[in-house]
Amino acid sequence: MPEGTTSTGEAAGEARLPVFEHVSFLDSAEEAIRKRLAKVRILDRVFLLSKPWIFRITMLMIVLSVFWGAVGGFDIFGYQTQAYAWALGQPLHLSNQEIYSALTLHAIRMLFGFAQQFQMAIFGVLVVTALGIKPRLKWMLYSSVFLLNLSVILIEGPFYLMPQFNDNYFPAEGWYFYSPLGIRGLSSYVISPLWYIGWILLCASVIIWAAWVIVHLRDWWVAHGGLRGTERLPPFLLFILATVILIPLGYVTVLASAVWDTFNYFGVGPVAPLLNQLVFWFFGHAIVYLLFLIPIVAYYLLVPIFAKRPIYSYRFAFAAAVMFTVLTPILAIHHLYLTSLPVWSAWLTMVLTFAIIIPSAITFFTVWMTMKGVKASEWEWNAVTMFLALSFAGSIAGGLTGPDNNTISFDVDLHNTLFIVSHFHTLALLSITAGAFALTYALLPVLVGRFWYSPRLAQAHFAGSAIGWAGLVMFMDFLGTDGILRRGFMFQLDPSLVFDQVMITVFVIITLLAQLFLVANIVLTIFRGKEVHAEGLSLNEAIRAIASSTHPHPTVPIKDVPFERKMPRARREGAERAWVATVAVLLVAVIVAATPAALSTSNLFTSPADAPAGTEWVTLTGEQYYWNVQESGPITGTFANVLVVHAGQWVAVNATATTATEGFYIPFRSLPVVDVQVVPYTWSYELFQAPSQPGVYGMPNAEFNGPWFGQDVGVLIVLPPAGGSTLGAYSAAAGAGDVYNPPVWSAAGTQLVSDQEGIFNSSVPGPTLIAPAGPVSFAWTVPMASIGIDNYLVNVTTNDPNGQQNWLNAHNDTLPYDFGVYTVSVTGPTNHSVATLDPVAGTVAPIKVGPRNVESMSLAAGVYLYGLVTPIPYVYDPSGQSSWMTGSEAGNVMGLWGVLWVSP
Amino acid sequence: MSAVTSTRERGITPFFVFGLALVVGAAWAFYMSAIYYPTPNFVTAALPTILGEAVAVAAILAIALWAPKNE
Repeated sequence: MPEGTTSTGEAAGEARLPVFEHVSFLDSAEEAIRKRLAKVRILDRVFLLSKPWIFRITMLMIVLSVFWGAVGGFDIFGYQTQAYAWALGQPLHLSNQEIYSALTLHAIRMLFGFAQQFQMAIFGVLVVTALGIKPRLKWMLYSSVFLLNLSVILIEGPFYLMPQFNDNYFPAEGWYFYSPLGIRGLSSYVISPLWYIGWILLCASVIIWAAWVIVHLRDWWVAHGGLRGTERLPPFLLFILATVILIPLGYVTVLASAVWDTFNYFGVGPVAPLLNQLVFWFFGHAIVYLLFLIPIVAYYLLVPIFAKRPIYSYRFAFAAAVMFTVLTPILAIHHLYLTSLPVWSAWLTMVLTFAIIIPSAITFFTVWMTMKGVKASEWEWNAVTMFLALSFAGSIAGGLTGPDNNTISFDVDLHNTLFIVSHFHTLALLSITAGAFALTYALLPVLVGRFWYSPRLAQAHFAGSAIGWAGLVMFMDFLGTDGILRRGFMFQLDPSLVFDQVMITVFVIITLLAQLFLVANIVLTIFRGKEVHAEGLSLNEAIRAIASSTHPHPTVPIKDVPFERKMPRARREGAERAWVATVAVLLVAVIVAATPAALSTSNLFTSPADAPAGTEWVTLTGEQYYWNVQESGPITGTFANVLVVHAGQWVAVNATATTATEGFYIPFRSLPVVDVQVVPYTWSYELFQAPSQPGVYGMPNAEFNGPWFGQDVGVLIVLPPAGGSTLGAYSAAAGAGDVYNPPVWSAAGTQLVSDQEGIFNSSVPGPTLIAPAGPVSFAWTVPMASIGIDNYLVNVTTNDPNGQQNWLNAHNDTLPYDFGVYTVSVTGPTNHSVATLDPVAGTVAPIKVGPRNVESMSLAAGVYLYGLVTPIPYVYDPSGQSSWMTGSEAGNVMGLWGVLWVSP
Repeated sequence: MSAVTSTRERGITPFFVFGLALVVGAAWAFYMSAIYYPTPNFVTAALPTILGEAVAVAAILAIALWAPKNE
C-alpha cells in the first residue's frame, strides 16, 4: 500500500468519464430509489445510502454475501443433522434428494453467493480506493451483482417458478457437475435446466466484474503515464490483477462446459463426458485458487500495514503473482487422475501442480519475513492480525496436504474420500474465510464509517471460529482416513466412525454459533459504533485505528512511522533465492521419487492389464445405482453388485458406465486400495489381488451418482475353499481394514429390520449373517412405518404422505418383489467353474410388509445371498409433478440384501 | 530505554507467532498424511512427498532465522 494513499481520488479518470455516467437512466432511477429508501433509517444505515455509489454497491454485495453465507450455513446444518441422526440410528427427517441437495446448495451458496461475491466486493473497492481512481461504469457493476445473485437463485432450482413443490426442485448434483449426471436423456437423474442457465449467468456476472476491474486498473495505468510510468502496483494489487486475469480463463471453461451440457440437455450436440469433465475442471481447479487469492491479498495488504514497513521483497512477490497466474489455469487433470486419461498428461499435470508450490512458498516466506524485525511492542493482536495468523496456519495446513492429493499413487487412497473434503475445508475455512474475516475487520468500518462496537464480540468470534473450524476439519479428516467417501453419510455404524460424525456435528454447531458474534457486532457497529473521523489519517492509519477497535485495550500507536531501508535488497533477495532454490531442489527430488509409482498407477487405469495366469476377468458396467458384473476366467457368471472370486486371485477389471460417472472402490487398509473412476462411454481398467481370507468385502460406488448414492454398495465375495470355511480369519484380519464391510452377525437370533432407506439395520448391504451348516434360521421384517415417499420399495406417485402405505393396504401389505435366500453356486472344475444364484427351496416369496418373517432352512456350507437380490426400478414423481423443468429421479436401487455365510 | 519498553521488547514478536503458526499448520498436515502409514503403499506413494515437505519446513525455519531482518 503506497504511503499517503487516501480513500478518495477524484482526479484520476475524471476526464474519461463517459457522458451517460451523468445522465443515464440508471443514474436517475437509482437516485430516485435511493432517496426513497434512505428515508428508512435501517436501510440507510445498512446499505450506506448516503455514501458514494461504490460504497453502496460494495455494501450491497457484502450484505448479499452474508445472506448467502447464512443460507449456506443452514444448508450444512440441515445435512449434518441427518448425518448425525444416521450415525445414532435415529429416523431421518429429510429425503435423500433433500440431504444431497443440501450439500450441493451449501457448496454453491458458499463458493459463489458468499465467497466469490465477497471477493468481488472487497477487491473492487480496494482497487478504486487504494489507487485513488474515480469509479465508473456503474452499469457493469450493477449488472454483475444482479446476475450473480440471480444465478445462485436459478441454480437452486425452479423453487420460485413452479406452483407445486417436490424434491426434484433441488439439484442433488455436486457443486461440480459431472456430465452426464443430471442431463435429460443421458442420465436417470435429471436436474432442472435452470441449473445450467444459472451457471451461464454466473460466468457472465463474474467476467463482467473482472472487465470492470480491468477498466479501472487501466485508468490508473494511463493516469500514471502508461509505459512511461514509473509507479508500480502495490503487492496486494498484483494478486488482484492475477484474479482478474484468471477469472476469464477459469470461468470461460465452465461456461463452455455448461453450454455444452445445456445443448445436450435438449438433445443437441456430441456427448463426451470425459472431455466435458476435463473442460469443467479447468474451472473447478481455478476457482479454488481464485478464492485462495482472498487470503493472499489479505497478507500482502495487511501485514505491511501492521508491520509498518514494506513487503520483504517486491520482486519476489511479483514473481509469485506471475507464476500463480501462469500455472493456475492448466492444472485440471489432477482432479481426474483416476480416469483413463493418457499417462503422460497425468504425469505432466503432477509435475506442474508440484511447480505451483513455488509461488505459494515465495508468498509465505515473503509475508513472514516482512514481520522480521518488528518488535512485540509495535504489533497489536487485534481481530485483524489474529485472523491473519490463523489464516497463515490454515494455509500451511491445507497447502501441505495438497501435494498428497497430487501424488498420483497416493491419490488412489485419498480420492473422493472425506480426506479431500477436509483438505478443501482446511483451505476454505481456516485459510480463505479466516483471510476474508481479516479483511472484513480491517475494511468494513471504512465503508460504514464507524468503529467496531465490541472487541469482546470480535474475540468471541475469532475463538469460536478457530475452534469450530479446527474441530470440523480434524474429525472430517479422521473419517476420510478410514476411507469414508465424500457425501457418504450412510456408512457402517462402527463406534469410532459414529464418534467422529457426532464430533463433526458439534463443531459445525460451534462454527455456526460463532458467526452470530460477527453478525451481532456488525449490527451493533452500524447502529451504535463510534463514528470514524479519518481526517488527516492515511488509509494505513485508518485501517490500524479500525483494527484497534477490536482490541479491548489498544496500546500500539496507529501513526505511520518513517521507514528508511537499511537492509540492502541484495541481502533480502539472497534469502529469498536460497529458499526458492531449496524448494526447487526438493520438488525435483519428490517428482523423481514419485514418478515410477505415478506412471505405473496411471498406466493401470488406461490400458488392459498384463494379467498373470488364473486372473479373473471382470467387465463392470456402472448403472444408477448398481454394478452390473460379468465375470469370465476361472469363474463365469453375471451378478448385480456382487463380484465373486477365489482367495488371493488376481482380478482384472474392465469398467464402463452408462448414465453417470461411477467409482470402483474397495478401501482396503492392509492391502492396496482399489480405486478407479469410471466415466460413461469410456473404459477404465484395474488389476488387483483379492484378499487371501475368504469373506465379504464392502465395495461402495465412490462417485456421487444421484439420490440413491448411499444404497449403491456392492460386495466382493472371496469364496471359501472347497468344503467351506468360517469367517474367523477374515474377522481376525479385520476384513483387510475395509470400513465398508458389513458387520458380521450370527444368524441365530438375528432380527433384520428394514428402515426408511430400504436397507437392513443401517447397513448396505445388510449384515453378513453366519451360521454352521445344517438348520439355519433368522428373522426379518419390513415395518410399515419404514414405508414412505422416500423409500424406494414402494413406487407410488402421489403427494399424499400416506399414499405408499395406502397402496400397501390395498395390496394385502405385499410388495411386488421377492425376498429369498440364494446359493452362490460355483459348479464345474476349479479353473472353469460357473457361478450362479440359485434359490433355496421354500425361501422365495413376495415381501410382506409389517409382520415378522422367519426364514428356516437346512443349508450346506457355502455362501448365500439373502433379501431382494436384484435392483428394482424406482421413479420419484409425486402426483406426476416431475417434469423436464423440475427435474426427475429414476433408477434401479438395490439395498435390501446381504450375505449369509454358512461354515462347515 | 524505559522499563515499560524493555518489558514489551521481551514479548513475543509477530515473527515468532507466525513462525509458530507455520509449524503448527505443518505439523497438522504431516499428522493428517502420516496416519496413512498402515496402508501398504504408504512408503512408495506417500512417504517421498511427506519427507520432501518435512525437509522444506525445516529449511524455511533455518533460512528464516538466518535471513536478514526486514529493516
